[in-house]
Amino acid sequence: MKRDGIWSSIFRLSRQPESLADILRNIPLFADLTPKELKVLEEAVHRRTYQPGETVFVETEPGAGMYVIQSGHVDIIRHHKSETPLLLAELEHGEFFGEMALLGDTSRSATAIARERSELIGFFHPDLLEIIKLHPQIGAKIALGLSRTLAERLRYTNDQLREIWDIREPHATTGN
Amino acid sequence: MQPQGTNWGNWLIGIAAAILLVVLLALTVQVLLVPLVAAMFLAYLFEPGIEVLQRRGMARGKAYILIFAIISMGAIALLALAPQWLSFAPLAGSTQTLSERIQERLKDLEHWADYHLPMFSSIHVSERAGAQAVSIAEHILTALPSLVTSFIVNLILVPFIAYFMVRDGRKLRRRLVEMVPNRYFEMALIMFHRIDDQIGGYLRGRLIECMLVGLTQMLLMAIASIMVDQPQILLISIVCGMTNVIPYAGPVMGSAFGIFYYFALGLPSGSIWALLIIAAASHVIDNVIIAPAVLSHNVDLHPLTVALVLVIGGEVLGVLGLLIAIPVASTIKVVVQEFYANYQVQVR
Repeated sequence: MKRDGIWSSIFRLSRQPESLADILRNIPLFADLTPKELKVLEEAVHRRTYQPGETVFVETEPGAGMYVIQSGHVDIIRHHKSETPLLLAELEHGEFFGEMALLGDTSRSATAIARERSELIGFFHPDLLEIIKLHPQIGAKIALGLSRTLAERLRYTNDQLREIWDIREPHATTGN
Repeated sequence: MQPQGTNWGNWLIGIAAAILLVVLLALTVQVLLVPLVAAMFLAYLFEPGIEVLQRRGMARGKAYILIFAIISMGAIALLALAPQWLSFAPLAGSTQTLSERIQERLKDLEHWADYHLPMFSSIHVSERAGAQAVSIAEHILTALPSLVTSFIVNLILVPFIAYFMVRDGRKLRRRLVEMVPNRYFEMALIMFHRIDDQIGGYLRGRLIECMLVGLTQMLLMAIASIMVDQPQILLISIVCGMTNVIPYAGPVMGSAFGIFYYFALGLPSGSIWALLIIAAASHVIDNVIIAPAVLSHNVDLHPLTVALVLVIGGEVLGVLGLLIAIPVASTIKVVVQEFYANYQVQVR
């Protein structure tokens, strides 16, 4: 549906600043949570502010959890031997990264650096454990959301691998 | 430009304020260290129960009050309704009669040693040990009023501090983590979590183990009392349970207290031997059945490290040092491990 000028102006005028719950609700991991459950999550997350060029985390260091970008931009880069860092992704408002570390005892697979002044919402492994302990239902929903997200990423990686395989050896695929 | 005198004045005021602050802090730590440590033990012990009630929608503070009220009423009911063999009995006799009794018992022991172990006949310890025992007993009796006062004050203060630890501890930890710079934020978060998990698990496990050891001791002494005289069952069981919190040395300290006590009471050797056998049996039950079931959270310290930190803890802070040596050593270990892991990443 196309909005006309008057309506879009009204919407723009009436738009409130996005709340923490609004941002979290749009993250697939927390999509199943009810407004009441989101309140519990809001109390568990941490808000951090990063200056331009400041490192959020470094590749190979132990990871504690995930970040959601509330404002600003974050670059995900990877260092290669004797090469300039490879820019893997440029993330912006509402996007998230580092969710694999929510599972605990994993090292970061890439480096995250704030491109500009960025406000991030951090949700970490100890916070998830505490939610599972005190609010098992919410914990189960988040764990399910996390599994779904990781499964999607895995499926995407498999597709990418298959494409590479097809390009390198076009006659080797069996079509299974 | 400010006059030189004003600058000096400001410096002096600053230094005086800093000294005052340090003195006040030292005094506070000295006065509050025991109740703070005891409150921490209490808060960790109650934590599983509080979490169960929290899952049912109760606030942490209210959950603590409920559990504390139930346990306190249970303890009062036990003391009020306990049968004779469980109740505390006052130490009979004055200091002098106690010392005479100790000397008498030591002389008996010397006679026995002279007869059965003639190679030790030249060693006469009864008089010296007797005098030492009298001096210790007199010291205890002199210090008793202040000990009782401090015990009563702590009895009120400890649950009060524990309440605030339970209610606001998590918020405080969150505030502390928030103050950490971004670069070390995740490391601090993991560190706090690991310390809490490890120390909490260890202390809860140890405290539950101590309670079960105390109960085992009580049960075995109650059974033994059918055959031989076993007075002060509750007192000795509580001491054995409490001292058990100290690794290795604790069970020996608890048994030594009981044996010395029976010895001082002038009980027949049958009672003392029975107590010795009971202490050994409860130690075996602890190691074979209780500890493996309860101590799932091992702090994973080398036995030599445990011995070393116990010696240092005991030397620096006495009994309190013995109690907190392992948790403190474990905390230091976690902190060092986290810093080392972070350092390795930075070096790479």
